[in-house]
Amino acid sequence: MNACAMKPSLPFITNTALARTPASEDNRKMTEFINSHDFFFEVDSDGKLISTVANKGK
Amino acid sequence: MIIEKYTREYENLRDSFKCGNNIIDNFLREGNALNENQGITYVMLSDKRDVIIGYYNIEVGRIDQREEVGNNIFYRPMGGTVNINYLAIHRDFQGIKVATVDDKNIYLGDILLNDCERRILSLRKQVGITFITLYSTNEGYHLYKGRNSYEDFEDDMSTFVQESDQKCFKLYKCIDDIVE
Repeated sequence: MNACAMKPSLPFITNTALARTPASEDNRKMTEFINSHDFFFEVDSDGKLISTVANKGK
Repeated sequence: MIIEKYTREYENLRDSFKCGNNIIDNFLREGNALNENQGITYVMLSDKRDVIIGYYNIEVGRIDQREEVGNNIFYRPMGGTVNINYLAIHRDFQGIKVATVDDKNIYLGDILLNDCERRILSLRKQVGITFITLYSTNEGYHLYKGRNSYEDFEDDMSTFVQESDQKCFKLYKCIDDIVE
């Protein structure tokens, strides 16, 4: 996932009050998974990422 | 997983970081990432601390609401923000699935963004924060809007966007809506 954000040049202005942004069901499940697991990342000599995921409760 | 504040200790790793966007790469490479007047930078490192897998930079800001009263225009503070100035994953590691939940993949960008949101959440009771804001590139838009429940600002605030920002998407998230 090519996650990118860039710094804006000017401040944020809105003409209307901003609405809430409730989490989607998929986002809720994903966040709960990330928060309940440990992640380990190694990069081997070929530059390949090796990831390991472990449940924090086990 | 190691995500730490970026310090001079990791300067020797910065030149290897490439995300595919020169502005974001150069922020890390040219030393601006160490200038705390430009926000604080956090790096996601490999477990051996020999590769920068991704990074983000955050600083405080504010959203104002524009109001017209007669011939006058006022800007009313709407809330404090933390702006994600930069967030990116090394291009060699983009699109790599780390885990799956209910047939939905989790990528490194999701994990890095989650850490960023946890950090902001931990600050909210010490400094007034109502929103997270960011300018997303076209490539990053799906991560924020589609996968992590960020919302677009309305179109008519484009009067405050410079030409260099026009290819970016202005997004926000209410801090109360972060899943704890």
